[in-house]
Amino acid sequence: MKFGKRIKEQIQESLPEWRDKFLCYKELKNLISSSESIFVGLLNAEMEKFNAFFVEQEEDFIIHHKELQYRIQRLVEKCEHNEEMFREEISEMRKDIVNFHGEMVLLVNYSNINYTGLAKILKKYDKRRGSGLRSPFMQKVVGQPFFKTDLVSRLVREWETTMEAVFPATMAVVEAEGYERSAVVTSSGEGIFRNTVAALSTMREMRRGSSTYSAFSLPPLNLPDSDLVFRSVHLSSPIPIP
Amino acid sequence: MTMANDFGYPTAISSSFSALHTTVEDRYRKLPNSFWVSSGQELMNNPVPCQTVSGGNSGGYLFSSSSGYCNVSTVSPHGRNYQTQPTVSTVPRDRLAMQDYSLEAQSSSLINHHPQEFADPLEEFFDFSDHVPIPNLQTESSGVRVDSSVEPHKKSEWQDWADQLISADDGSEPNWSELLGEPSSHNPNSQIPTSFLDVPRQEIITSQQHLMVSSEDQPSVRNPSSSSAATSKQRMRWTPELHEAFVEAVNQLGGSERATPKAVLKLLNNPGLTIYHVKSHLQKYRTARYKPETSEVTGEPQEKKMTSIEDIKSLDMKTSVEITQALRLQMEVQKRLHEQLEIQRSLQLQIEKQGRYLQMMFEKQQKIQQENKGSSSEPSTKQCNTTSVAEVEFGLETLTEDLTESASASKKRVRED
Repeated sequence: MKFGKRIKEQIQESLPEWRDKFLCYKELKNLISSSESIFVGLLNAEMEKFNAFFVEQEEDFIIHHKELQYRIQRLVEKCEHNEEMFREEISEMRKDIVNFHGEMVLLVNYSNINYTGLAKILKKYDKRRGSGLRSPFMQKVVGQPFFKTDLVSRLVREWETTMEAVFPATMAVVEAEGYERSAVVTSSGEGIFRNTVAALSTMREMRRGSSTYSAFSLPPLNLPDSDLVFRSVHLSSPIPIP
Repeated sequence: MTMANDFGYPTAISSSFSALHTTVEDRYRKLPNSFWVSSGQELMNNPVPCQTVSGGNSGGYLFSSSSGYCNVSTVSPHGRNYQTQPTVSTVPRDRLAMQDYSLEAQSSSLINHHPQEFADPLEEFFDFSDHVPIPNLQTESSGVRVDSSVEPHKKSEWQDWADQLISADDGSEPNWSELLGEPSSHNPNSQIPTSFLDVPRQEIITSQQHLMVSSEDQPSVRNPSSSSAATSKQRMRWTPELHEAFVEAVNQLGGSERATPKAVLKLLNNPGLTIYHVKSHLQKYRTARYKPETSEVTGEPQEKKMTSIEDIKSLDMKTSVEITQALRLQMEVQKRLHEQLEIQRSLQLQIEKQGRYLQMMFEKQQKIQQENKGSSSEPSTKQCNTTSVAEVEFGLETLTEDLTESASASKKRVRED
């Protein structure tokens, strides 16, 4: 039930439009005792759901990706010598870029959670029914569109590079109490930020070690500076910019 | 000392800072049009392939997405009949790999010819805060740090963390003295975000191969009775290259409002593309263009944005720096999550692959034992069975250890990147 709880939490923290697109873990659990064809049927239906959602999001991202590029280009052309205007415009852009990056990462996270969920539910099924459903099914999953996140990951990395180039890492003005104040997040990014942090913490929890640890289990998560990250974020009391 | 190679982008910028006099427009006029927008011409003549995913592609089951899973009883074969698609899953990786190579080559040639690509305007980028003075161009080569106002211990923490996540040796400040010294220096390994570049032919050819692979798969998988439903619901997987071709086509037809799906479809001349795909994509495109200020999915209304711009204007610089810091933090956390996701994903794949391999070995052994059962004596058979199970278990245990090792190794690698 641990994963069931985790995925529920993840869904709660996720972006509203995504909430019904995640794996119906509980439903599947309840179907383990019923006939195999029904169970498999739901599995396939879920995968269809993932594929449809993922591919559509990906398409949106591709369009948005191009639009952001054009925006930067136009901005650069427009604000040639007007530093003031440029600075204002660019700060807005920065927010958009960060949020866009965040959404894409969340889609990769979405793919991963669902994959993990499928693997776990199939493990449960095989254990309960003494069957060998898991292995061939997972093999199929690996070939599914929703699992092939290469393109989205590529875009993520591209924007990371762009961010580094275009918005340098000047830590110059971080003051002593800078961490706490860094919890100020822009209102539009709040949902994304919360979701991201929740995803990271869920991942860490899930890999902490389970009662059913086996050869198929992942090793514990190694997050250096995770304390730093989580300490500097006060999820309970974010100070949004109005 | 050159800028880290992993940051081709800043290197390109830094190499061009020498040409501070030329105006932006001059520079942009110098660049071929195709630099910024992928040349549609080339793409028009070669039909750009796309990945097509059919709704019924997985497992050969009869399924129509609207009816849930209630017609399951007529469905999937029992047990282990699931079709695997190894070809489809491996080819895209090759395609992307080729793409990276060819685009890198492309980018280096572009840099050689146009060293002043991103010069002047981006100089502004480095000077967005009042706390950061424009570095004196005469400073020494050790990588100028303009953060003299920062308390030492905090600086080192940030630096550690930043260094881990950002691979540049000396932060991402451009190396000023080097710029002056070698105005035309360029990094052959620099990587400009690939979408800014022309799509090279190589990639198109590889993509075509991929298209043929996937279309071969489809007929064998598609269920006859749902073929009509599947055709219209056939899922289209867009790529940035294909989208660029689409944009080019739309522009040729007079913009997103004037272009019709039929005309765009004709221009694109892509066998895998249907009018439904184009239609829905055009709709998305129109929406994206006319609501440029809203976030992707959250669809934040414009008014909110306007308010925040005004608020930012009225806030003092200190707070705007805080905002920047908050964004910075958000970005770092996102990066971290992505990094971990990629690691986790590769681990999961490895586990499944090796687990399957061991399973195969186990089954093979069992088979051999079945064959030997008639001839060999009872006790030895039993012994064989136990041994093989133990072997498999041992194999799997070793597997876990290996994976743990490789997990930490890959993390180290990622951090070093």
